Amino acid sequence: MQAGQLAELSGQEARGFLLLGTLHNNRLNRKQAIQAWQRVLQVNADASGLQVSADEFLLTFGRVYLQEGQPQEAIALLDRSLAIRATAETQTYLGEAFEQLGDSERAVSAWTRAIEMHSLSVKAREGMARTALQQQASAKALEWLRPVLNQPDLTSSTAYLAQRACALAGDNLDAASWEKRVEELRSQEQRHDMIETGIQRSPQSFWSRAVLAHRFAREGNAVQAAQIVMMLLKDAPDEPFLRELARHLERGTPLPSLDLIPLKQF
Amino acid sequence: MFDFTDLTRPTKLERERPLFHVYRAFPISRGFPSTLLGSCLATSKFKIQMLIRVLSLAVMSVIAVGCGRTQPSVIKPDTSPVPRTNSALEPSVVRGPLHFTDMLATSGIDFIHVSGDSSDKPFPAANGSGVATFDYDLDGLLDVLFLTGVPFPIDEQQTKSVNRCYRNLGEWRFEDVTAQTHLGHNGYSAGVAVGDIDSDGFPDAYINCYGRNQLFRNQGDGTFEEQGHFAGVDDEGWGTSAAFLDYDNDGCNDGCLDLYVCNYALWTPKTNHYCGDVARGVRIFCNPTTVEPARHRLFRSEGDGHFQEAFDDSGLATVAPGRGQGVVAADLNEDGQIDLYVGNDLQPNYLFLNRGGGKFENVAELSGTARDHLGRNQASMGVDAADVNRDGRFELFVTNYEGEHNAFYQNLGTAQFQDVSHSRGLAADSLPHIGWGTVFADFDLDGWPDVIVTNGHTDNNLDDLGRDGKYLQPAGLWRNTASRFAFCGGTAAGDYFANAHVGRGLALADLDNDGDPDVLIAHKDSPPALLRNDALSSVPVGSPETSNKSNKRWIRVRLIGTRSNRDAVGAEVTCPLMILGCCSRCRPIYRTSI
Repeated sequence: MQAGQLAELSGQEARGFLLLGTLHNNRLNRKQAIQAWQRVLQVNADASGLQVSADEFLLTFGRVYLQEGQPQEAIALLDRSLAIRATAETQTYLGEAFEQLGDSERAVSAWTRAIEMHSLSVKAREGMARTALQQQASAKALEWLRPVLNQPDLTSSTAYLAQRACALAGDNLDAASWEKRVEELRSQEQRHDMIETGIQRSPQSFWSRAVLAHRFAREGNAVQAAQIVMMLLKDAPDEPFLRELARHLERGTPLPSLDLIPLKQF
Repeated sequence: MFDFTDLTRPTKLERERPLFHVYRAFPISRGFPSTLLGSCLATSKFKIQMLIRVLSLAVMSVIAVGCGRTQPSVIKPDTSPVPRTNSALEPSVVRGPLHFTDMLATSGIDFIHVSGDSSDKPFPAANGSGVATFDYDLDGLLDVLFLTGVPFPIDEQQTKSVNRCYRNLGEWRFEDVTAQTHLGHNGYSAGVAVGDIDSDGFPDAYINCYGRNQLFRNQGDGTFEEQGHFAGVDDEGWGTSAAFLDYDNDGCNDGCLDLYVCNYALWTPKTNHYCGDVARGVRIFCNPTTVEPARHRLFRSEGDGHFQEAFDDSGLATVAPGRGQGVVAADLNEDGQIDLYVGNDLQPNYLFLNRGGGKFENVAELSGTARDHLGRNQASMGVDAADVNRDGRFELFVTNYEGEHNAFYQNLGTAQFQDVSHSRGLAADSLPHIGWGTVFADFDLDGWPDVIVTNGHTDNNLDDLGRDGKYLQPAGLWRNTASRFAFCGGTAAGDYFANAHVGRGLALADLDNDGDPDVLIAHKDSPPALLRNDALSSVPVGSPETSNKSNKRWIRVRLIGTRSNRDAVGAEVTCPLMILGCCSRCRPIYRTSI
């Protein structure tokens, strides 16, 4: 509501629509985000003077277009972002937009530039590996992935591409080993995604507030964490996660793992 | 108490898929089976390419929505302009290379689907029901069977919502023969598969239900008799789709079609969760992950009208239960055995390779067909298989939920597949929509299989939650340009594609016997669409298409198994061509489905 009001203030329209679009995007309402952000560019064509830099806004806007299956619109925005400030991240998304268009050549070109800018650009390397796999060049795919396979923040998608490369090469043993790793990573990511989506969709739900309390506690804001926990415990005095969290706040015991949250109820 | 609102994602669900048969080399002798439709193209002096396609009995399932416990009002298509989702596509009013005309209004078909949707949001109503075509009276014209759901709780005595069968009178006219044929099942029907289970030349129909599945045996006199219990296939799970196949190649000639049955989940009205926003009183369908997946079924024909449960003995029981939505049977690794590919909802898909001796092995994970190109589970609905790039191998295609691309798996050989949806042009335009029924077909008769997808959301009240997600969505249509697919939907494909619908089931059939494949689409809680393919019919004089018409060629082959199942499911057709006195080597010519 306040973002909408801001958008109606003379001279503040662009900032208001930026905020409105951001709120929609945070709630995964990408179509509404696109509509709001289109208004930003209508009233402020160069996206200057916003709460975020123009290149960052254009990159985010381009990414949302990409998620909505509109690669040409994405490319136009990503190109503008790159003209302001070239980053590996923007090049990577540009590559994905060309991939969606079926233009492998320009996709590879964009990912190559991304890797030149940042040699451990995971998404760009994944793009190169995907292209290699389509050409049945499993060794080449693994070559692209190798520098990022031992990174601590390895994602399931990277590991999955390694699994695919091994399977395609007929190395079923390594493929099975990667499959196991993928399962572990996917499980962690799914848990994280479910929690994040739940918070975005229903920030006031019981478990969203529980996670918020956990985050306050993790950041050392015990007062706010305790306020929320006390409130929630009134409804569910025996809930194990909350009791652990309360103990942490009272006695300094280890912070409970988010794994204790019953995701099906989230 | 806890406010367990909002389970991540609205629900989607099942739909149907076409049944697939692969034809593998048996002489033709008599009778009915599926029809092979093909096109021959002379592209240069020494080069003749030929592709035969099977137009057949297709199958589909659908989903539904409604209100309260009363009969839901009929959903009307959204005729506001459909925004192009991919700006690569020209916003054109010019007739495109693929074009269809909806013939429903004058067809005599008055069927309206009922999903059973209500304020309780019963899970099966998120999906819907399918449609099948079959020439039940062997008059040479394909007839139509529409399935419907019913309101919850299910009243076994109700007669208002029943499946409807229409006899094709020719010239796009149909007659309601539900009563005469006894096909008016009044339970909650979802999917349907057609096959000649007793080799009498008359097609029989198997219907997946929420509740006891039904087997309607064609008596050959224009009537059917329900024999699910007698045959041993009256599974009581929540069935969604099925496929007939001869998986054990047992060679009998008296009705050896076996049956794979997809089940969805364990759900009853009593276990229905509340999903949505309690505070605002906005209830939506629950996410599929809230229901436990169900075990599928495999029934082996005993050749005498009875089937034996063979799931455990066949090796299928080694996989975890899956929320099955669609299944296709085809020889996916070119070993002469029919394999199965099953789309599961938010779970890994199955690829059951037939190892011979009546045994299957799930190799989906190793083959790259379990998930998308990044290894993520997708909410899979419709599946199909076809030799899209004419290399003699079947590619796989799976429709999915919004935000997930429809997945196109290229067959690399040796049971290896790669999701190449993006680079082949099938991903971007599918992202905003929820895909259901799908089928490959050479709509423009150029020798390359195109693809169509029905779309529609599960929830009709997302606006009340402030969420994106249009309930009515335009169907997707892509033309195969040999190297990739080009989106050809929207106005250029005809009014139907210019408007939005709540699409679910889909069936392919040459309803006017003119040689080009037509399409039936089932909609949730609304009338279906009866799409005449205009590739060969009613081309306006003076249209650019007129001159192209002479380039559109096709042949039709009727297969009747004499040493195999009579439907010749699993046959492969090859066509050695004589060119300038030389015998040209030809690839196997495939088609798959039923």
